[in-house]
Amino acid sequence: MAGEVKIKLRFNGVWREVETRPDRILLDLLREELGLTGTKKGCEAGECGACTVLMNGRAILSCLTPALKADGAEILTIEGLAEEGNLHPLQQAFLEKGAVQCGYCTPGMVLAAKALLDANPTPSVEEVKRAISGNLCRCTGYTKIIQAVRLAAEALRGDQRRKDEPAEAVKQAKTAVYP
Amino acid sequence: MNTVSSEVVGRSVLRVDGFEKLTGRACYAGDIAFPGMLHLKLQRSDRPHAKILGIRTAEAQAYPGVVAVFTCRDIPGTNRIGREIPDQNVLCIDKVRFIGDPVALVAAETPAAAEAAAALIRVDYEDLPGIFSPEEALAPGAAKIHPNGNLLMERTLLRGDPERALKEADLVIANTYRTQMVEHAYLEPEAGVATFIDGKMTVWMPSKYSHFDQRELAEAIGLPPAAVRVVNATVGGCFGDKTSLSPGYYAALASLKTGRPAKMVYSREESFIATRKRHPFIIRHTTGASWDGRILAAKVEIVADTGAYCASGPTVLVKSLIHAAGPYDIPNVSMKVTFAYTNNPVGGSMRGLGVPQVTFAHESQIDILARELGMDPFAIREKNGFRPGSVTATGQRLGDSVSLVETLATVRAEVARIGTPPSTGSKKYAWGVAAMFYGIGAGGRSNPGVARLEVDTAGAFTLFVGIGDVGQGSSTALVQIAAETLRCSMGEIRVVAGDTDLCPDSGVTAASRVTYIVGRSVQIAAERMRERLQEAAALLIGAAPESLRVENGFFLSQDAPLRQVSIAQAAAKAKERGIPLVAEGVFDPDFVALDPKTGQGEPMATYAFATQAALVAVDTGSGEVDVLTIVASHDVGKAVNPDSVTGQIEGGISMGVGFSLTEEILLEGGRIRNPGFNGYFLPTSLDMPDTVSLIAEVPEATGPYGAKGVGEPALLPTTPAIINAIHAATGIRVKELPATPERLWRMLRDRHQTSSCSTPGEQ
Amino acid sequence: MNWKAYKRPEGVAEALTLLEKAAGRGRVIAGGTDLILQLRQRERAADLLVDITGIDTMKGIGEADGWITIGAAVTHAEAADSSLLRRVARALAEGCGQVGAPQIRNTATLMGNVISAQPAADGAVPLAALEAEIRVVSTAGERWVPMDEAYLDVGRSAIDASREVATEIRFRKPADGEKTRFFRLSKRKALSLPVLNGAVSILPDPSAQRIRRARIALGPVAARPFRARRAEACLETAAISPELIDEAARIAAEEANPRTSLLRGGAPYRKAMVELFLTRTIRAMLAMERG
Repeated sequence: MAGEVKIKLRFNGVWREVETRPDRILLDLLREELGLTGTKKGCEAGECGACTVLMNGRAILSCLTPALKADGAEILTIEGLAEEGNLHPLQQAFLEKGAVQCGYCTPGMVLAAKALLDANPTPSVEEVKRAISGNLCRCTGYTKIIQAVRLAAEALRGDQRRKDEPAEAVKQAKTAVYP
Repeated sequence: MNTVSSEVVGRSVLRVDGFEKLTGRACYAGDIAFPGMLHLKLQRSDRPHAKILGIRTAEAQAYPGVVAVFTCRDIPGTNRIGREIPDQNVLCIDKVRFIGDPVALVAAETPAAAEAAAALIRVDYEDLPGIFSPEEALAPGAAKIHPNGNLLMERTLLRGDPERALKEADLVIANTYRTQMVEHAYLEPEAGVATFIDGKMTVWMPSKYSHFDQRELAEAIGLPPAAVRVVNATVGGCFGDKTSLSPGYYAALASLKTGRPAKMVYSREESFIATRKRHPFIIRHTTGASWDGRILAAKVEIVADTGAYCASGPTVLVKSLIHAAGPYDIPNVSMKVTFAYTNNPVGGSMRGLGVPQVTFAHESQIDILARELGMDPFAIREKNGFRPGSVTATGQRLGDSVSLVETLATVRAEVARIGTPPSTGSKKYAWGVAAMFYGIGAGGRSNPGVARLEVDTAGAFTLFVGIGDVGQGSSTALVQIAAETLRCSMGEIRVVAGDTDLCPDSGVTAASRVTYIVGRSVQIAAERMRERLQEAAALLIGAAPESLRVENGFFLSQDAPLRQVSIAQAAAKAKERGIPLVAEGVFDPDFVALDPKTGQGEPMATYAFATQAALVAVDTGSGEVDVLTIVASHDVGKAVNPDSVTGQIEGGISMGVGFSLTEEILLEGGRIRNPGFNGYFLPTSLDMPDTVSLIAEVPEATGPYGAKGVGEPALLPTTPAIINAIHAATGIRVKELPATPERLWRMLRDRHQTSSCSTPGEQ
Repeated sequence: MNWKAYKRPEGVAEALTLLEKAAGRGRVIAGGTDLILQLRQRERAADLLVDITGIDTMKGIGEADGWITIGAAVTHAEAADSSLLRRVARALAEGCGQVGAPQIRNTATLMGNVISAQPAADGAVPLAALEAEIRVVSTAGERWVPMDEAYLDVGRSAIDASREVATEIRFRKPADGEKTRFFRLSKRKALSLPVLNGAVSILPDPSAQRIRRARIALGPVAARPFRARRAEACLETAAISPELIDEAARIAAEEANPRTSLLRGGAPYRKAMVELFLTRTIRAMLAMERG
């Protein structure tokens, strides 16, 4: 198709080639060409954080990012967080702490938190607040979200200790929804 | 009523919809797409009040990719919407009444084409005088916004002899309070998708009341209700809106006319401009008291801007009337509440339904009273506060689930434990306290909750309720109630919510009624279901049904202890015997409608109570207010899911922080000057205080396992607690919201110049 | 959105060639957080976007020959986290750290902030106080644009992003003993433009009794970051005292002359805040000095 360009994006270790328009915005590419509707559109003006994804490990606003800027980049969306059906400790912690209400801010919020924990495994409450300060939430008042991120940090440190130990591997992530 | 031991109710079980929301699988209306789908865009009025002389659509119709352009003439149905008075249109007919009033609709192959074409629609207007305040609206000779004039509704309340009581009072305090227009600002912008196949219209949209939207939509666009199915998509926040006129209606219209699927998503700016807002109130509140701190009389006059259309004006008016005197034993009360139309954005339902506004006023009044009398703010509230058996301003005698005093004591103890940092130089620290009461349910009218439970022969239950979870956790709580009653695990119950083809009409998600009213109907349905299964199990066991009990999904009898029957086996037996595998529950709380003149009646079956205290740090140089901590004690009767309850409290607090300090729709000549998150400031994570949420449980006998509700109460005391704290810290009494730094700075500066601070009207 | 091509050159020369071919219809994009919004809202238009963030020579913050240099592709997050900037130009690191939100800081570049030419720029205001200059390259050669010449008007930069590529920012490394600080007043603690921001640089004389050199930049009080030169002069005239600071702050408020704005507030308030925040900031800086 005239005017179409091809870009390559790496999702969870897998390269995908997508054909799109040169003026496509990453958020629309994710939601439409790739059918990954987990990343949300809240304002399309970079003011709410609902569209947050990780690009090369850094939290960015996909509503303000040209798709071509992401050419060759590693992208993590909420759909890519759970591995082989096992929830990531962040997802598990959000569930356990009751940090999800309407869920619309949740994908962006979880990814902003992941970027934090990847860079800082022992964040203070203040550091957690700052890391999610670009993600608006109207339902939760942020309280349980902050608790969930700290719980996940603990769980990840625990996982890391277990990984470092020469004991048998322990499967940590859980899939149960009901206790 | 309460069971022996709670297995599920009272535990913070994981949300039934949490997994989908956390993995990106939850389906919101904006995520839905169909092949061949049309995209829609409205042209909306750019002026506040005008006659429509003509609409020229030829240029838009000719735009490449446009399939159709619709105006009011293209609507086969009534084109009328409005839950209380149908004075609004899907597409305007002869007038526009606010900036954003929808005039014409474009359906196109792409969103870009729809947007470009919508801009090409030419409307010929004849401007009419714009009216932007209730005072202007009610002045004689004012231009009429609606044919019957600009008064939407006025109600009064009278109890005792307030005029005489005020004359005889030792102390009379009168103040005028103003609250601002506020936006729901849920993170999910409104969206709707429709298909019209074989004469059946299906609409996916977030809705707080699918059945109402189904009926209204059907009538408006000209279909029999049975031909319309509304399916509640995952709701990305509601707070009172996401009902009635919304993108789903336009999608249905386009689908009906073209036969193709259609989708519409509001932009954030459109969501700000076009959807309903919290009513701004002007409250004149007069309190008369004796020297020993007893409130003898309250006189409240409220004038509210209801905006261009009726929407939920009457509901908000009545709720304000019921609550305006506060949770206090006041023998003499008079009220007059007046709602006027203007050409401002439409006032609708927003969390609290007028009660946040009046709570701000009555909690400021009692705080001022306390200071005048040198009384402790907790003590004065305790002295006057409702107790079981107290009589409200509407003359209703309260039942047993009244725990205002307990919440006051809890908060007072926690505040003392936390303490107050020392004030230094320009940084002043202080606590402020506020209490509230809130009637659960619509107020003075029938609003039944209905639930239906079904079971299959594999032992799996399905719970059908009309209301969808708007994020507050209602589906989870309802499943908990059902599981508790059926003595089975959560995993055995699937909930289907908000689908008008499958679910009964359970009323609206509003007024904090879901846990109490719909929850009770779920409990009743579950009790009936258990009885039926018990009957069948008894046949299998060979014992009397009354001797059976249920444990962990099995029926057991002490008469035949070795025989166990699973739910699946009981269901299969029931089917064989023709015992229905379905049970319904209905609960419509008792009420006595309010007398239109005296406002006397028993509008709600139960009330929630709460106290909150706020610790603030005020920078007296810049006027900036930092809310450091909020202590909240809420009586919810029974916390079905404690984490959901505290989650509501925390969310309500953040809304209260915004309401008191940062949120304001800025209007100029009816135009919203800040229709976006860059100009309308919700609290971020860095703005949110620490919270201590303490749940009090004084069971409500008529509620499921004693539960009442918490959704709106969560927000009510926060604002006055903060405003009272600002006064405690600085001596500045803010009577106009929001208490922005500039407003505070000006009041602090003026205080040096004058000694009185009772005139409002700044900014 | 409407642009027809999006290119990511690997070098400046390539970027310039692309722009030249586009004959004025192309535009440099860095992080894009301002530009994409402007394009979406049709405040600007472009057929070609030239993304310079992949050019290696534009990354990195360094020190050489008494200059601190910041590449055009450096983000606010990188500037805020830079140990060099935190050490020698604290106001700049602080300002960059308070832009918008983490996601914006991860993408938006400091250079982009200057070229956007918005008066309320948390990166640009400290650069003005540091008297930074910008290296601009075009087919005609290269030039250096000082901060106080970089703004033509609100939203209009002296750097023409359709023909020129700004490659780096530099400023003279502050002298030993020179302190800088940043302050900001906004409507909430994240995701909001400043109501008022400012950067102050103070170099006391060796006796610590007087201020040898003061620089004060303020925003958004004018179409560009505003240097309060009369206030600066006042601070340099006399021995340090609370009265001197108060006087300088008062003068700054007067010369800045902020006007009433719907979103930022009334003029009297904004003036008073200029005075208040400058007083507090300078006092804090000098208390540090003495301590």
